[in-house]
Order: sequence, then structure tokens, then C-alpha cells
Amino acid sequence: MHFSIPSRSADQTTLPGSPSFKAKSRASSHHAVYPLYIFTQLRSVIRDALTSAQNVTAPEKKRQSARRTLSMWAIAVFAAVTVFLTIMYVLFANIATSDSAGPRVVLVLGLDNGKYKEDYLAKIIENRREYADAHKYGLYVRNMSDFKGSVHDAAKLGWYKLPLMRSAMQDNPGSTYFWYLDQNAIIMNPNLNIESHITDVKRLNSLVLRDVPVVPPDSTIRTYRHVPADRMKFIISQDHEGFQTGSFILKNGEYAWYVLDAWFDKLYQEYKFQKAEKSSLEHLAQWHPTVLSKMAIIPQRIFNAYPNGVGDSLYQDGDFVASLAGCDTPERSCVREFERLWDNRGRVVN
Amino acid sequence: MKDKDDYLYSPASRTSRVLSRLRRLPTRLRQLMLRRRILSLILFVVLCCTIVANSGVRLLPRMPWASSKFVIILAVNQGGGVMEWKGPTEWAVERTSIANKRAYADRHGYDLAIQDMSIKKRYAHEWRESWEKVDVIRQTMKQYPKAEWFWWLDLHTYIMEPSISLEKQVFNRLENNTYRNLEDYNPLKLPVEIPFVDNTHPINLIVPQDCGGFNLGSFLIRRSEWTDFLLDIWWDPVFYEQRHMQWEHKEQDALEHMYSNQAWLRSGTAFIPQRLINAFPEGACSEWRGDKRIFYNQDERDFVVNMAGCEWGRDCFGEMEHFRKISASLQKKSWWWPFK
Repeated sequence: MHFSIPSRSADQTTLPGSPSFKAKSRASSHHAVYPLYIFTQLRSVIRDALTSAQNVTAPEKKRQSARRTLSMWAIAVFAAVTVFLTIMYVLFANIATSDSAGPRVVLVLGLDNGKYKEDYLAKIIENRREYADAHKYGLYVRNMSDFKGSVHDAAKLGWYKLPLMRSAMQDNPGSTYFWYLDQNAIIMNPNLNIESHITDVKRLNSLVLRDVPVVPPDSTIRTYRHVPADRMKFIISQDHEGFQTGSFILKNGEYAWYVLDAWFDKLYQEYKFQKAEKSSLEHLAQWHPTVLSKMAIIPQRIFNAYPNGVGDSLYQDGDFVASLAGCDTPERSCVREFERLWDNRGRVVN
Repeated sequence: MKDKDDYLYSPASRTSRVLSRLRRLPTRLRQLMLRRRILSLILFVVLCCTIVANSGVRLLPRMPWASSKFVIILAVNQGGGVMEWKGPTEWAVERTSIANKRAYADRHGYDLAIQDMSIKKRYAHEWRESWEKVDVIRQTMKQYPKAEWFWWLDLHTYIMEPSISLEKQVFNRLENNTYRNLEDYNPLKLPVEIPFVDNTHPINLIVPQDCGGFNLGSFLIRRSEWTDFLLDIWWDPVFYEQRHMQWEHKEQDALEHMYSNQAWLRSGTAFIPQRLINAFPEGACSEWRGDKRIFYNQDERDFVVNMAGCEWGRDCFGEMEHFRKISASLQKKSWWWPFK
């Protein structure tokens, strides 16, 4: 057995002896010196690498300077690309995000131009416009007859407000709150701001009626007690009979589209509820907790007071909105009641 | 001296020459491997892969604490033997179906929720009768809070190609695999356009259409707020009272009604070509025989077969066995499979 680095010739060693002896000796010699062989090779490679720095020959120098120039160019190109991309991002990112803005609140008004005269409707539009302009809100005005094709129960006017709201939301995708106010209502105190008066979380939390029956006076299903106000997306009030759908606020989003579409379903319209869309909403709120859990019921006087109401619903001076709901019956006259209120309305104080 | 050893090892005889070569073989093999190290390593890796692949054993172990993004909901015990007797063929069909889904779920690391659909009513028109699918989905979503997609499978289904994962079959190219409107394929003649539909809405429900409308035998539903709304509004007493006489397929018809009328639902629903997750056997949709969109195609190796309606007039057990045998023969691998 020898301990030097075995070379190729070792394999062809012509040692005499039986085959088993030859095989054994070759195998064991490999086993013994192979790790040693690797170690010595590695050591020589490392030593060469270390000494190369000192023994720089002329071609080595040229190669090194070429490498240096190349690396400088690479760094320069990389820096230029980075600067260019940063400039592009700064310039164009702003343009992309400013696209989805819009007024934060949109007033939605549907006009029944079949039954009422032009000057009456013009006054109502003026009332809304004065309010919207004062607070920089949007105003969305359509004729109710535009939606005649999609309503199945065309006799009841109450159904038309639902596709109207849906249309308003589709046309104003950047806005957050949509306030539907009936045509026969008048904003008496335009100095009140929707956010601070109703929708701000703290204010809404103080207004929400918890644990009240959904259908007064004593329905089994009552409003939730512990749902926080920041989750509420549907703000509405009740009068002594049930939901008062002449004035409600919806927050734009998945929930609003779901409620409006489900509320407007063909089968609800064909069921011929007693009070059309009011009863339909009461049904939805009692049978489907996904609807009720995000509904906030607030006192009626906040945005839907009755001038001829009783108790809590009676309009008083300084209230936000006076509603003429139910004025299109033979005993009453919408135009006359409107004129009386129109003269007494508050104006915007700058 | 001519004793046995000398005779065997002396170089003269042919036996001894063969024997000596044989005795040198392991040593020569070892030397060859050492000399051609890289090649032998490659061959060893290939050999291991072949063995592992052919045996169906998972290469990487699944971590026991990881819960899957996908849950398969398998509806078993339909009826629970209340209205009809469950004989040995019904039990056999159930066993085969469950074993098939369990093997599939284990192979791909999905969770399997086996839900009991026995009838719990005593009178007709009892509360939410036949809308149990909706309640079961809601219950399963509560049981698997981390999962995102839930794949509902009826009992009479068979996964024919267990090597294909859901990601590969449906989700990797979701936009290409699904279609969002009824322009091309509208077997029920539902309204093609309704106002206020948003086509950029994320997909929350993937439903196949068969020859008679939506088919809820094999569909996918995603956990989201939209799904909470759907599962809540799916059963409504006013809808039920007016339509339960006409709605033979119960929640399927209710969904078709809502799809025709409510834009928010249309925005979140996508359709998938039937043969991707819900191919039919020849017996179902028999008036549409030959339609390439509906029936199971063995040459194209369709993924799942749904033997819909086999309990009315057809032989569920026979069909299940038929498809089980086809699947087994298709899965048999030849030795050159890893190199294909």
C-alpha cells in the first residue's frame, strides 16, 4: 500500500495474485486516499486564487480594467432606469387615483311629472339645488316615468324609487351616501349638514333606536342592540304605522345593491302587499337578518317630520325636513300645503 | 488436490470462470458508480421518482396544522331512508362515492365535509323543506373558517381523473374557464340583459348549466359577504308561497329566478362549461344526445361525472360501477409514464 496521490497508472497495476486480492487492495487504497486527494486539490486551488492578486500580468491588467468599465456602465444604466421609473410613477400615479372622486353625498329626487305641474316641480328642484349647492353635494333628478318599464306593479308609485336609487348609484360610483327624499317634501333648514346631522359615526350612534320593534307597535323582531354604528349602511325612520320610505340614506356598496335589488324583486311586487314597498321592506327586515343587521332606525323628526303629525313625528321650527307624505289623497292638497311651507322655509346662512 | 473449492476456483472450468465473474460483479458495479458519479446520481434520482410516482405516495408530507383553501362538501344519505328503503345497492353506491372523494381530498390536501341530508320533516311544506342545501353550506362555512372555496358535490358523482387538482382544472385560469353572461349558451332562455349588472365584480359562485338550466349537483361557492347575502335571501317565504308548486328543483329554480331579476346576483355569478366539473352520462338529458357540451367524453378525460337523476328510472349502482371501472382503467400507468 502506498500513501502518495494515486495516479491513473495505479488502476492498471499489474500486481500478481488472485482476483479477490487485487480487488480488495484497489478498493481499500481508494478508500484511504480519496478524501486526502480532494483536500490537497482544494488547498492548491485556494492558494492559486489568493496569489493571483499579487502576480498581475499585463493581460490580467487589461482584463481588469475592461471589467471595471463594464461594471461602471452597468451601474449607470441601472441608476438611469430607476430614476426614469420613479419619475413616471410620481407623474402618472396621481392621475390614476384622482379619477374616482365625486361628491360625497348625492341627493336623489324622482319627479312625478304626470300628476303635478311644471312650476310646482320647479320649486321643489330649486329647494334641493339650493341645499346641494350650499354643501357641495350632488343632485340626481329623474322623472319617475323613466323607470316604468322595469316596474312590475306599475300602479304603486312607491316601487319606482328603487330602480331610481340603483340608477343614481350606478351613475355616481365615487359617491358614498345617497339620500332619497320624496318629491312631496321640503328641506326647511338647509343649514344642517348631512354628515354632522345624521351620518357621522358618533352622531349616528346616538340617534340609532335599539331594541325597537321593526313593525310598530309590537312585532316580534326587534332591532339589534349591539351592532356598532359604523357598520350601519341603511338609515331610515318609522312613523306610527311602519317604515317611512319617503326619506332614507343608503351607503354605496355591495349591501346597498343587494337590498335595492332584493327589495324590488318581481315576486314581492306581485304579492300585492298592503303598503307596496313599505310592507316589502318590513318583510325583508323581519325575515332576512343580513338586511336588518345593517339597518339603522332613527327618530322620524331627524329627517322626515310631519307638519300635521302627532307626538314625536310633529314638525317643529328648526327641523331639517318637513314631509307631506300622504298628501295625494282627496282630503288634502299637496300644492296648498307646500305653498304654506315654502314661504316659511329657512334659507342658507353664509 | 482436487477438493470442491479448488475445482470451483481454478480458472480452467467454465463454471469457475462464470462464478468468478459473478463474485467480482458487486465490486465492479461499485467501481463503475464511483467513476461515473454524476450519471449514477441522475439514474438513482430517476429510479426513485419512478417508484414514488407509480405508487401514488405523496412526495412532500402535508403539514397537519395547515387547513386547506378548498373544502369538498359531499351530500350523502339523501332522504335518509325515510321515504324510500335503502338497500344494498344504495349503500354500495354511497360507499364508492365517499371513498372516491376521500381519496381525492387526501391526495390534494383538501378538506372533505360529509354532510347528512336525511329528511327531517314530517309534513309537507314544513319550514324550508328541500332547501337544506343552503343551510348545509352555511353550516359547513362555519365549520371550516379558513377555507375560501367550497365545492358542493351530490352523492351520485364520481371524480374520474383524481390526478387533476381543482387549481389546475378551474382556478388557475378562472377568467378563461368561465363565462359571465348568457349570450352564447342559454338553455333556459333567461333574459340575457338586465340593467345594473357589474361585470367586473369578483366571482363568488361558479355554476354549470345543463340542458335544463343551472345544475347544482356540482358547483363552487366562495366565502364572502356576497355569499352571506345569497345564502340568506335564497329561501324566502313570499317566494316559496307563490312558486313552490312550479319550482320542481327547489333551490335551483329559486336561484334561476333571482338570477333573472336581481342584478347584484348576476354580477357575482359565473358559469362554467358543464364538462369541466359536471359531465353527464348518456342517460341524463337524453333529448340532447350527441351534444358535445353535456356528455362525458372518455377520450378527452373529463374530470367529474354527475349521474344526475339516476334514481328516477335509471340504475345508479350500475352507472357508478361503470364509471368506476372506466376511471380505474384510465388511471393505470405504464412503466414509461414518468418519461412521457
